[in-house]
Amino acid sequence: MKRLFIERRHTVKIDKSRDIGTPISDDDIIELYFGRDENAIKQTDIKYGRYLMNIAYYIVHNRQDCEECLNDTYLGAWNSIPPSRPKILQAFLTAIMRRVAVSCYRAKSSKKRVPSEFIDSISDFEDMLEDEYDMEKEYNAKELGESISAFVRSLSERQIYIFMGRYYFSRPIEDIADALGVSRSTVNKEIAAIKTGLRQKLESEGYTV
Amino acid sequence: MTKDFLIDGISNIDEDLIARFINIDEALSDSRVKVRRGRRLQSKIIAAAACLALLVGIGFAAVPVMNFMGIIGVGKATTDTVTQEPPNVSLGSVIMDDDMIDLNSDGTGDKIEIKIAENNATEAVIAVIDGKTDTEIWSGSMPISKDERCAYYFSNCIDGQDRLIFWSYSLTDGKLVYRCVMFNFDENNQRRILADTEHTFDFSDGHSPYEYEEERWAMLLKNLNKNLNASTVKGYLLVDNTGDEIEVWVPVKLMRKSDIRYTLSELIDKISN
Repeated sequence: MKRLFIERRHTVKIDKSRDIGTPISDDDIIELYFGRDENAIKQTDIKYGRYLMNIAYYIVHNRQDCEECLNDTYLGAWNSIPPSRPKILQAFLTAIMRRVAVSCYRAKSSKKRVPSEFIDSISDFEDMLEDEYDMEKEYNAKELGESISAFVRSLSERQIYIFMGRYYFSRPIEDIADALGVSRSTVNKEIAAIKTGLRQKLESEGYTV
Repeated sequence: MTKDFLIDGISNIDEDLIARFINIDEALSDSRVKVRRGRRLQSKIIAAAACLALLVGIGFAAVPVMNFMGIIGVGKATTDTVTQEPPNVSLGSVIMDDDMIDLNSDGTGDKIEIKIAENNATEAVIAVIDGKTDTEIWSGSMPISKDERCAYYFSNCIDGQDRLIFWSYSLTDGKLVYRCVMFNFDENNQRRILADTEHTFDFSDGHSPYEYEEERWAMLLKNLNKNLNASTVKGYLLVDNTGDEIEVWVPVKLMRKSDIRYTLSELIDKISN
């Protein structure tokens, strides 16, 4: 099956050759972006296509939507590099893919209820959330991101893995438990502790949780 | 705070944290297969250690609680048995018999036996028994005094060879001295020392010697790895019931200093699972 990457002015066709291609280095891929060489997309797909699809799948739970998200992610990368020069390309692409997949999920779920690990994970915070949107209370999401980042940095490696795995990558608890070699209940206990810490952190910074 | 706002906030988490997650995930993936394969071994070895601790505990009922270290196993399934020898001969012993632990690489699985000789013993005897000839090819002691802890563990290293690691530390004058001896056996059943290192950590700064900070482990094991010509120990598991809680350590990638620590309740979870 062919995959289409649609850019405003032209179309880049990505085929399954990524399965047999040999990945090149991130620096080389970034140079391709800077040279406006469409091979950048193909090389990104070879190296990170499956990884990115996996991220999208946990959020949108639909293969076709994942493909769309992937195309949008490549478009985002194409439009961002340059001027951006990612320090870590995989993390850069991850951030784009997550935003794209969340947008996709929102668009789909506004029409109907869509089952998703993503929304299940956010439901963990239900007791901290309000229904009404109060603009005055809400800081911008970037500031909130900085606060959450500062909090996450204060956690142990293991807690970082759990927090990021569950809430950024929307991974199921059993997958996280399996990766760490612990039981589900252990992960749940860690999550409860992390939530308490996050609540305290956000409250101390004036957020209403 | 609304759900959408929280979602957007999480979307804005810094990329360095994403990269950190990716690194940890990769490290876990590297060891995941091994850990999965080893889970059965770990549970059984922990159970065996618990049995031994029980034996020891019974024997030491009238004396102050002794410190006793546990065992480690990574990478292989095992069967183990617990035998109780006559009390006048031995307080108790644990034999781990694993077809896949082949310390002398002769194609036959070997056995490891830990033996506590008497109630007031200050050491446990560890014996390696060749699976082919059923003869003891090596024995060594493991101190079990109040101020010392020790452990041994198997590590299925990156080159695929099994190694027996005898690890101990003693606590004197606020300093913790670790000694690691890593070895296997050659085709003539001669013990081959792969690494023998000693490391001293100074706790005179007021830190508890029981704070096993990952840096200390990383330093020690990095030293081991250096002696092993950059072979990397892929993981270990350490059971310790001398303190208030049992901790199991599985550093998934030592050079990255990423340790995973399990508490007693988590360990119980692991055993019961």
